[in-house]
Amino acid sequence: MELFIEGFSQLLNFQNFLFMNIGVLLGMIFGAIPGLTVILCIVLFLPFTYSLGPIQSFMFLLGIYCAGGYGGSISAILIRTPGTPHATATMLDGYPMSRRGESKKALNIALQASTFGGILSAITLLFFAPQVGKFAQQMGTPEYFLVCAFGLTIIAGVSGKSLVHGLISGALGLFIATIGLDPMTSNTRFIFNNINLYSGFDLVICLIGLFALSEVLGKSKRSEQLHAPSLASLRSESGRISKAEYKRIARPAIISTIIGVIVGIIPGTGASMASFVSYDRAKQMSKKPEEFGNGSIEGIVAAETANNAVTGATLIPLLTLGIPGDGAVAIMLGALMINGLTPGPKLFVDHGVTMYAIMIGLIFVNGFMYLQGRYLTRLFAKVIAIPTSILTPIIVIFCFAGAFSVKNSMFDVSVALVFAAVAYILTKLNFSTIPVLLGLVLGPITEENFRRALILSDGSWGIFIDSPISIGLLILIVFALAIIIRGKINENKQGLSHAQA
Amino acid sequence: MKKLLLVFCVLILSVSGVFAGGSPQPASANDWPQGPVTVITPWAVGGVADIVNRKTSTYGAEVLGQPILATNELGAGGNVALTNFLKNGPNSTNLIFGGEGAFSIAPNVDGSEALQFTYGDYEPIINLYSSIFVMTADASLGITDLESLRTYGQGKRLKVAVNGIAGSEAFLAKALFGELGLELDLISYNGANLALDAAAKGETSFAISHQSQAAGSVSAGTLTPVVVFDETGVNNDIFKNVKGVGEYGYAAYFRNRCFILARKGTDPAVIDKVRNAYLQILAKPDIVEFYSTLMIEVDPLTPSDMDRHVELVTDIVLGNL
Repeated sequence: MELFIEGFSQLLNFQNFLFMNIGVLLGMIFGAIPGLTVILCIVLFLPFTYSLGPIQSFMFLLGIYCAGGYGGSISAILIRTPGTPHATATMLDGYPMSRRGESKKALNIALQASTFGGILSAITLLFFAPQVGKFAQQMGTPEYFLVCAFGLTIIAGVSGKSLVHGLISGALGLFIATIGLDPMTSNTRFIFNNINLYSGFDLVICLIGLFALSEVLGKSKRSEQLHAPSLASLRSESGRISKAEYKRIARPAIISTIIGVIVGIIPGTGASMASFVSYDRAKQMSKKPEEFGNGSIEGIVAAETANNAVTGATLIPLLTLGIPGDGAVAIMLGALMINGLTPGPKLFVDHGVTMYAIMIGLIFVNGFMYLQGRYLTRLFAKVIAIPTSILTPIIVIFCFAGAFSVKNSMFDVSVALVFAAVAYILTKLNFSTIPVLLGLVLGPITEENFRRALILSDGSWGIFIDSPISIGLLILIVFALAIIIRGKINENKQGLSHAQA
Repeated sequence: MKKLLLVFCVLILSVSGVFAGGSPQPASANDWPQGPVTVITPWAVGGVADIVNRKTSTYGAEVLGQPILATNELGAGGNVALTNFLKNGPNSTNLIFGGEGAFSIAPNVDGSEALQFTYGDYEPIINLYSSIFVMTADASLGITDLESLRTYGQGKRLKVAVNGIAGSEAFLAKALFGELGLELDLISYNGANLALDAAAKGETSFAISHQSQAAGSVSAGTLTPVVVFDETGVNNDIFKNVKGVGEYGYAAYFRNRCFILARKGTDPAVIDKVRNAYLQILAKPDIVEFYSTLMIEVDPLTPSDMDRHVELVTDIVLGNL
């Protein structure tokens, strides 16, 4: 308790709150602009933190990290181009809402859901980090694989009208994810002696091609251009959420927070997996599943709550075990070390006050994200009133600049264009591109953990039923598959009865 | 149509603006550097090399008369940046990091056919730091040195967690276990921290990592240090009683080194200028303290020492493929 109070008093400093707010603003802007990423933002401003103390630098970096999570949803909702990979699930319902003239409301729901998930996750970090850390320690390679395998069942939920098409798209994503070095043997796969293919494709570049550039291609036909609502109609939209709607979104928000926290403590999974798993669960549990994909508020809440619930949880393995959960957190690990703080089991013993200041600060970061978001979303909402002939070139410029900035490579710009062409063709053939992204996100970690588990067990498949957590996860997978199969049978029956009628 | 053409022209102009720019013009040795010096870390942002680059670069204006810009270029474990660096001419103000991973390991493992560079394409200037690897064991096994490791490992296949199957740690493990006459399974993890965590929770028996990465778990008692991969032990609080591989009479050790490299053909006067500038930086008290925090060594090496390091590691790699 002393550490808590001392940490809180160390946090209560004008500079800490200033840097926190600068970080939040930068994160929101970088997250919102397609092509620019949270990681790019952190990289660009990292040197700035070297002259700051550990609390100030962490407040600044956490501001970027958390607000970037929300920022990605802004462009996903308004222009159907997710600013971050995990905003793709938000796009599924946010964009349809925006098209029917409810942009402000969709942004408002996303902001409130992000704040809710972020604050609960920060509270989990603050009060339950040791317990959650112990739970994380119970999970090893086989459990990580089973979580990923469970994640792959989501493909059925985001396949669009045809499950077969969804599976083909998912398999395409999984195949593309194999390009590069074999994670277990380091043998090369499909690199064709091209050094640029050594590490496979960066997820951000794939995202730019699959969603942002392909959307531009899709809109290039005049008949398919977006009929943007007028500024006047935007002004008239209140964006308010009714009591009945709050009641409806309460359950998915709580469940998605739990999913976000669980996924967040597993290294290498990240917010994309959390948002898709939550979206899928919310759809399965909703009384109005038919609204998903057509502007369901539950869909936006599930995706946004989960991806921000990851933020605090990801810090648990970082601070308690020194394991960074994703790329952005890995950079924060460096920021800790530069301040002489070695992450690991003794961090709380040696630097307890600083740690408490950081953990309490994360709650404030989410609070300021909400306040800034409320003001900025009014500005961002006006984006859709910009004529397509002006907005489209701007998006393309940011996409190219973003693809180039990942590795300062023109090759990656070409890769983004190829992905755009592939996505365009898939869409024309009625294949959803979201399973491709899921395959790309889940493919590497699924394969790596599966093969590592079998090496650890000397080839015995029994390793996947060795622990109670593994058995629980297996039951979940079987349950998810049963629901998919039952749903498919019901759909076929309904199709038959419609045909007979 | 006119509107469409206008938009198209704006787009082209803007895109070309985004990608405009180029590498600085080479200068003669006397007035080098005429502009800022860029030092490229070809590895991840936030890693030890990146942190050291950014920290040391803050002294650029003071020691070189021009700012040093620390930057990153990622891809293929550094090989993309090292390939792209060949576009620079001698005396370029662009410099790059490289080490045994690029020059001793990459040319000898799968995928080497894609490499377009060799160590001979660069001029080594100085070794910015050395990091000594350490092997740690699951604390419940009670293994604290190579003797107890040898006793424990007789007749078993020991599982050793490493960061990547073709990294320095993997070759050190293979070389040491080969000399000890023990059998091992290398388990590749996507990061040293994950490898250490695997050993700490008993998924594997051992992990090999940099000292700074293992320090937290060793201090907390979840891992015990077994040996450091150097000729002798190290001088820090956490690993001070741990012997070096060389003290046991084995040759399976090398340090992880980070060379600053210029393009081949760079004037020796330029090389000296940069080397002397970095020697001044490395003597700064805050840099010495910073290195101590990161558990890395100031170990400048001469160019011939750096050549020997590449050769030594190449021999170890070739002997353990």
